[in-house]
Amino acid sequence: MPVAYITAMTSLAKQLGAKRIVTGTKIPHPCGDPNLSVEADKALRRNIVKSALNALQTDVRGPTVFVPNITYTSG
Amino acid sequence: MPKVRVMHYVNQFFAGIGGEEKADAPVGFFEGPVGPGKRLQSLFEDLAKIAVTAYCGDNYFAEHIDEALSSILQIARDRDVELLVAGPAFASGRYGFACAETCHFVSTSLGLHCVTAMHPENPGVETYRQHKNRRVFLFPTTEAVLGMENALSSMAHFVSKLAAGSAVGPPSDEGYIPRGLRLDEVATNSGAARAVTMLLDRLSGRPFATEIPIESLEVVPTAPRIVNLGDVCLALVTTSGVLPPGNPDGFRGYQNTKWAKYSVEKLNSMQDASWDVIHGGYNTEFMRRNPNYGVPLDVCRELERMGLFSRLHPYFYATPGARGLLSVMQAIGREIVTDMKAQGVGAALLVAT
Repeated sequence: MPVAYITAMTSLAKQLGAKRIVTGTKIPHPCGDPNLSVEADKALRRNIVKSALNALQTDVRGPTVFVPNITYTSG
Repeated sequence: MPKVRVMHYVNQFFAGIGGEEKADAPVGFFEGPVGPGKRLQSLFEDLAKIAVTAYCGDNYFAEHIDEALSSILQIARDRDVELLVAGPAFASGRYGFACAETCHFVSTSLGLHCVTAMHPENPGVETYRQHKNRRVFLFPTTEAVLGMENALSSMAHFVSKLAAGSAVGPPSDEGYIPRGLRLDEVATNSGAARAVTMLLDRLSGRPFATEIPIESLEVVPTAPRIVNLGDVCLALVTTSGVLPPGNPDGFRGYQNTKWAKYSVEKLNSMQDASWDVIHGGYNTEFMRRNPNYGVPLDVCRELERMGLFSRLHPYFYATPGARGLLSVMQAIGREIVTDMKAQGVGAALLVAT
């Protein structure tokens, strides 16, 4: 079964052999960013999940990192 | 003889900077030994001394690997370090990963020997095996910090050996975890004679050791892509520790050996109900405020209504992931996927903290 693995630790996920890896925001909040407004936070989460859905529909040969089209706040 | 100048790498906790709330601390350093380094120093005899202790927050390292590594390298360069010791990291996954990456990078950049230690099932061990660096040695420890004295003693013994310039033997002699490298040595008997001896030992039930062990990391085949996502039921899985209030299944903050599934059938957002967060490996403050960070239910409902996939599975699957043992997590993964298939799930999103 295809699994999209959303994590901020992408290099570790690659080494452990996960196939469809999606870059999350940060370790304590992979899907979103509490520094953003409620709307922008949700939009970020939507983009990450959409990137994960795209990963599920993409053929990969080995560990592959999908980077959502997002910008992160610092901190 | 001058003492070999050692750099000790530790995380924010063992550097005394703080706990999980300081896991975002960038790279810093102290002159001389700190925390476990003080005991390590006393075990070095007169051959080596800790010139500097470099530290980095576990989250900072994982999220800024390149910056962290180059800062650590600069500290080593500035002090003419001749050997690196990292950890021990025990079963802490982010810390073990940081130790393994730091050892490999510093060793490759400066040509140094590096010594680290952690539990054999720490994911950092896999990093170490993949790097296959001839100058990096990883020693096994217990899971818990209770084994500190033994860990420091085996590291110090080996560091003293390296500092004295002694030859390093194979893993079976020295005690470090095998890297999967083939080491040359001169044997007195021919290959044919050794193979027959090994066969006779095996047939008579005597102990024997293979010269070329086969690597045992499970290779998971790559699942084919979903062609029609609009026909597929999607399930959410999380290792973030989001659980129903009161933690009804009694999950622990770390090293869980089971999983559970919880209904979100009537919810449009994780914020429509109350949840607990049980996880001993990261600062759970943000997750408590908005569990959609670990179970992105709010946006999945939107995308479900838009028809991007057929439907969302009414349950999400959970096991708090801190310090999980690989073998246990593999078994949990197999059980979860069996349950999903029985219920018609075709694909999964796994959110990991």
